[in-house]
Amino acid sequence: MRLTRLLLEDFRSYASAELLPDGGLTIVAGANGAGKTNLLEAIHVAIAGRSHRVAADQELVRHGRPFGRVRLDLAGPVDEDGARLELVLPGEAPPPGVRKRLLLNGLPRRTASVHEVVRSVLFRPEEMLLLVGSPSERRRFLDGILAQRDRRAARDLAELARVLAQRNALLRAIRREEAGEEGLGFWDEQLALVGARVMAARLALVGELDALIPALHAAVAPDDERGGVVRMGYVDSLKEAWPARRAASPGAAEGHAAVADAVSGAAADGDALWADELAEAFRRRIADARQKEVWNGVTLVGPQRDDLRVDLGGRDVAVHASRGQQRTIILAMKLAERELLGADGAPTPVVLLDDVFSELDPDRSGRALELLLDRGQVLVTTADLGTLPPARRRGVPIWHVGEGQLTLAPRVA
Amino acid sequence: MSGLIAPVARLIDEFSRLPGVGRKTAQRLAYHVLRAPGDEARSLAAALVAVKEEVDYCSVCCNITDRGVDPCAICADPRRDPGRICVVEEPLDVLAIERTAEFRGRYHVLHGAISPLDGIGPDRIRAAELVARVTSGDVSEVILATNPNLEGEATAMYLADLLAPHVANVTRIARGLPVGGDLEYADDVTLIRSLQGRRQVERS
Ligand SMILES: [Zn+2]
Repeated sequence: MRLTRLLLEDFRSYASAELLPDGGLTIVAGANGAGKTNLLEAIHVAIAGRSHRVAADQELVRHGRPFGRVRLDLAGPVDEDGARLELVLPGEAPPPGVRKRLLLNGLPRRTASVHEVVRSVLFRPEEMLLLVGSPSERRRFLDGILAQRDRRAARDLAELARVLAQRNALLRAIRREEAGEEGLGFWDEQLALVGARVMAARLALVGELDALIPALHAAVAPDDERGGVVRMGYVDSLKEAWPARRAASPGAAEGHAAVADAVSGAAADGDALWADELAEAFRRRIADARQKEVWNGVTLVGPQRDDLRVDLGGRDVAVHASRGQQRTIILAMKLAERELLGADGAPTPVVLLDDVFSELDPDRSGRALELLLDRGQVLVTTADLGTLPPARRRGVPIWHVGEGQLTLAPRVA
Repeated sequence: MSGLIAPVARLIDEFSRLPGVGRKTAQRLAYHVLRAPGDEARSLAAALVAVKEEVDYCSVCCNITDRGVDPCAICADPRRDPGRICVVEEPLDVLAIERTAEFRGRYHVLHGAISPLDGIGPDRIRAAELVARVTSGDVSEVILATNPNLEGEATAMYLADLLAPHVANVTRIARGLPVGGDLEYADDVTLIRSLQGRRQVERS
């Protein structure tokens, strides 16, 4: 489905706003801080279920207002019906009965079922640091893909967060000698089960990324960056509790990039079998780490400690690649995210590029945009129209943001 | 709070202590009470005091009961089977099961579920009272009817271990599909659980 209209009411800086995106490229221009990001955030919140910028939904509502609303109108292909997605967000003091609500064609729906109709890829400027930033950023990259394309994984990720919160609270209580270790048994087993499912899903995903990225990288890389092959590897924290890892890739150091290669085949054979083996490994690892966890008062085992490692020509890009090389790889990763989310008959994701071209040279930007616009919709925000590839600017609707208002500029011939 | 006269500030403070009530909501509630007729405020105050002064806990099942009525009406009812105990988290759960008129045994109310995040360990639920009940009486079955979420499962697991030496039958309520619903609209977890909990078709 294609986004034909975005309507905002008391969302962030907007009292009300309407955006009518083009089927291909739509440009939103405005000074920094004018509220461009808020527009992309609104689309992403309605589709992904939560904001990447704030913890509490009420921060999304315009200050002092009882509730905010985001509405997306979607059009299907000619012979299909469109859809209307509506998100209601309660403000600080909502009227009685107003709760967070997601409606698809007027009916309450879970975020997971919305992903059968519409998906989105958001590319934030902070992601330009994806490869050198903390592992949590890279896990977020992986989990963001999983949560949109696989309802089981989305549920497992939410459950993992809950299990970890409970287990950490218990470990803290044990450290303060307010609880006994015997209560850990239940949470250990939950962690082993859900941890194994999350890790199995991530391993499979890393295998897919590893297969997909080299070609995308070659398509966007400038001439002097072609040649080295980009590989993705999953770095787990199971240590010697998972001997199969070493057996699968002899001579590989823990978490070496070659791992993804060896495990992606196994994961594709059936997540369930794979998850059984990993759950066993987690049980062993949890037992090994028991004393240390109690001393530290925090869970030290599980997918929340893992990382994604990226190699270029066999060397870790976080250490050995130039900034330019890193950016090209990140671009290829985001292109792969779009490919994976739109695969297997899933709706082609709406791509939201939040001021990322200012971080890329026109060469890379141009090639990436060509690939994205080949099929599907792209919304781009920018503070400087000059950073957009000139060939792509012609005839494209440009919306201007300023003082909480959104206006359509006349088309440039 | 500056600019507020003391009684209003005090009421706002009290309201904002309530679970799920933020500062803003507390202010709205306080001003509502302020504007309401005097009777309304007095009746609210009386209800608040009565809930503490006129409600007791049943010494058998730990459910709430009218002051002076101990054991509670269910525990005192000779037609209820004392050999079968249904364990629930909250008094409201008793009402829900009572509405079905299906269960003729007795209850045990835990007043919570194990949740380390909320500082609720096994010692904060009424588990010791339950063990005392099953060891002193002739109990043939304990049905664990805690909620089907992580905390409810943790509680059920803990109680199952605790009760195993004392009771022949410790059972857990089944989780499954809502009656009258369509498979198509069931959420994934419910579907998975009902597949896991499938049983042999009973043939007549
Ligand atoms: Zn009673």
